[in-house]
Amino acid sequence: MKIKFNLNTREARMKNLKNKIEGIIFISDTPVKSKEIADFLNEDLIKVKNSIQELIIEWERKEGSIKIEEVAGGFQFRTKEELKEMLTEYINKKPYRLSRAGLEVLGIIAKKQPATKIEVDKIRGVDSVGAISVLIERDLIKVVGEKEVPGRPFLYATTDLFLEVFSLNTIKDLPEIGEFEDYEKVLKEE
Amino acid sequence: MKDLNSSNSNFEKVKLDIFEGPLDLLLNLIKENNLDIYELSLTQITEQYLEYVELLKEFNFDDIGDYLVIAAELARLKSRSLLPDNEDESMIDEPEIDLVEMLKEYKKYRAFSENLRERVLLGRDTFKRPTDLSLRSNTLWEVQKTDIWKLVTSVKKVLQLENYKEIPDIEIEEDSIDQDQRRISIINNFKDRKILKFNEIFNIKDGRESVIVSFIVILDMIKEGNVLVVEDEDQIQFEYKGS
Repeated sequence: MKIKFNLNTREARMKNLKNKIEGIIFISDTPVKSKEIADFLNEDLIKVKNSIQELIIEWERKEGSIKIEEVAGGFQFRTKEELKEMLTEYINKKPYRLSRAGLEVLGIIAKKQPATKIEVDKIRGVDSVGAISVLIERDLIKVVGEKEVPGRPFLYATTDLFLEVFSLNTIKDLPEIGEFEDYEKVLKEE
Repeated sequence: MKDLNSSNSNFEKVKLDIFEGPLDLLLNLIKENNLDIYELSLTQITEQYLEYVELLKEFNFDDIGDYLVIAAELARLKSRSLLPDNEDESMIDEPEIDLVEMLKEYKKYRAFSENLRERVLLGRDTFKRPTDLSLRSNTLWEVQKTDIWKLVTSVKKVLQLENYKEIPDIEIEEDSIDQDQRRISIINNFKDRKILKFNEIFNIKDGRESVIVSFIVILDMIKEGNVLVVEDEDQIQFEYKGS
């Protein structure tokens, strides 16, 4: 009898912790890190991490329209892809546009970071100043310092927003550049 | 890689980041000609490349200097390939850039960025709960796929048509075409139909200058997202997205 009672309070406590975590993730505008949650709730980090994993599974089991995703080193509620057309229409706003050139520059900086404009120009064979300023304006890249060479050019790196937008947990989740040696061949074979 | 700008054009300088640059153009030409990236392939497409550069000069394209650097290297490769084997190669200047290596390296990054586009994008494929739903503050993203070179190729063909026509050499100076004016007339054409065919915007009968101005206006509209290039059975069409 006593044992069962203990079990119930333990379960209740776990449920209580999970609810708190869920609430924090729900109201947050940017991905929340498990450490942040643990510090705020004054709870054990492992316990918090386990609870988040359980929450992810629970939401998955619900088979609803929402999921919890691990991005940019934190956790975030997001809608499932099947709703994308409907929601785009509902939001009804002009999208931010990223040109092919912009994406190219972003890709090079993501791989080479921290990188200078000259390093990007060298790979592309063309001046990238326009694309770089658009990417900075959109907060996908930022200046992280200056290179210790004559002229002290700015060094650029990707931002947390880049990770968030491209659904990456860390920059290491990007594939290796060597994998793209025979990209066209791979595409053809697929 | 900056400005050796030399153009006699009267138009405003075109500064557009939708062009991917000279290496992208070269890769496209190599692919079109079913070649692989070798020095020999490069010498085969030199003339085609130069045709594009001539056209870009006419648009008063801002980054033309970067295209000329590559053109010089292509010319060097070509002249070397024309030398008989026993000729002393030290007669030719040493290469300043290894174009084949550059192309291979660039191609990897181009493929990588295409791969980036296919990821699940927040604001395109998935959405988060915005801070203030009443404002629908979600940010939408759109990643453009348009291959600008296809458009340039079509414009190039139209302009070449003109060369075959015998036009008496009468230039009417004051009747130059204004970009803003051309823009208004293009938007007007779109008012009736959302989709216009390529030759409804680009017609050599309107004159060379008109075609070039139209091209600059259309590029601007693509950049703003007001016009979308759609390909229908190899035909380029334009869809109006503006309001």
